[in-house]
Amino acid sequence: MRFLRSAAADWGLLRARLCRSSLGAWLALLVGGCWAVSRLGGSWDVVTLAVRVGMLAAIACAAGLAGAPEDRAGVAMALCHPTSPRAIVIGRWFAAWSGAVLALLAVAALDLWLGGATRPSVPALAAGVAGASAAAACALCLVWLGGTPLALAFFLFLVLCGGAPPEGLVNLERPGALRFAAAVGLEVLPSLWRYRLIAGGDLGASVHACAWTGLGLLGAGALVRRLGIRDA
Amino acid sequence: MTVDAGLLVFTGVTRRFGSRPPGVERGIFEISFNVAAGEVVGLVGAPGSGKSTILRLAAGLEYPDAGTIRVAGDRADTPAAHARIGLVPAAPVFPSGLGVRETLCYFAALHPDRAGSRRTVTTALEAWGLTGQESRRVERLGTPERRRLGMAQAALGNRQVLLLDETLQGIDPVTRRDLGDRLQRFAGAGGAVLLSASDPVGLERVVDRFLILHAGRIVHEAPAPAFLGQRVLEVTLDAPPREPPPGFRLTASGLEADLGTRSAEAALALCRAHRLAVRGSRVRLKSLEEVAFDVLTR
Repeated sequence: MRFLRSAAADWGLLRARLCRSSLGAWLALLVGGCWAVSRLGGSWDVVTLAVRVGMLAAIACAAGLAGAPEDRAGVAMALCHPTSPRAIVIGRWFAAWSGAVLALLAVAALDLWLGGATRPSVPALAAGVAGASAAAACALCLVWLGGTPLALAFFLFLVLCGGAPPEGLVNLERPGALRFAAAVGLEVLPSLWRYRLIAGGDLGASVHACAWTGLGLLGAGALVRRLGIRDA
Repeated sequence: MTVDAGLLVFTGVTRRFGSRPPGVERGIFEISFNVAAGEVVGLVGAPGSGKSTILRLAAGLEYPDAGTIRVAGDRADTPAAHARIGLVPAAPVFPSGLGVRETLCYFAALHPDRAGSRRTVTTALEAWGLTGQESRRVERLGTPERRRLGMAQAALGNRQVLLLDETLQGIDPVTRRDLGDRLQRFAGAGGAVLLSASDPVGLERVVDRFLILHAGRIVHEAPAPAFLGQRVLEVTLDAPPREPPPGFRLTASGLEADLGTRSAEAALALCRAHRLAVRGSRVRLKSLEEVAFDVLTR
């Protein structure tokens, strides 16, 4: 039950960061910005909005909870208590995922309250939650590997080309190395276009999200073990 | 499982690090010692002598290449040992954005006894002198308060063994004295403390037994009274001599000598025999710094 205790501890950390650090403001900006774009632009449907908000908020929360140098060094302090690297990772992932779910609920509430062109639905929220889960695990892995800059790179990758299916990038006579790399990234990494399919009941997309959640947590666990030894 | 003579027992522990430059081995080698309940043991040595490695091994954050480490009978890398041993790293880092009480609540939530965590936190705040600072944000705390918070989090959950890495270094004498008293209270209640220091100043009042570490090996071990009971004769002279008498060394104001088993009168007679104009003299006890210096440069 160490992971439950760690999740309870990190939930308290999330609350404090949402209220007292810039994380709360960034999430509010993200929710408001995405909702405004979906309403004004009209090109995002409810599923796109939910998956986009869920994944981007999960990355922002992972960076806000674990990306600062003192957060990474602080892992060693936590490991001096009756817990384990895996429990710490699960706790921090749960907090990042919870923050993303809060953002999802906020955007759904905003949609209901202000009456956007779209109406939130359970399948759309489920796709957002699944996308947030995979994105939070991957982002944690990245922030423990290289800090906030890597999480920012992942964030920008999703913002700039995460919505397009990979075929769209390489469906040219000469796609170029950059487009080809981006297409491979979109095919392999967690991405908006794939997790949109979860709302339609696509099993492959759900398995992809679960696999990335597991892989991300495993990788983050190995990194935390290394951080704990190096920084104690 | 039988509990060894101490709460923390190292037996023939070796931990090697990469050999850089080639041929120069770093780490700790065949370290054996124990820390009993009620005891405060000081681990004194230069930076790089292996103090922090010993503490990390005891905390179960690293694994020995050879030998065994036991905490109240359990191997140091087991959850049972983890629940009994607390570490204050040399530079404790706390999650930012939290207050002092919230920080302790964060760490207390990692312990199995969640029902008592509020009470545990209140007890820790009182025990380590943080009452009245509960709502201060950790990033605004000064060094002494950070040390107190480090010790409070390490002792959470009825820990039996505290490992302190340079925790009493670099703070004002008043705080050091206060923290030393609190450590002794912790030990008096049945706890064991292993305290590392590269500068031994101020440890005399706190520590019951000293281990002097050099290049990864314990080179001297003695109880504090035996360690600190050595006498030194200080002699003030009108004019400094060109050559000190045998067994004496020159100081700014004259000479000094380790008395050992000699009497002060015999040592002063030696000065007079060398026709030195003695203005005054006094016998004092050797400081821990001098003893450590002697051991490490022997």
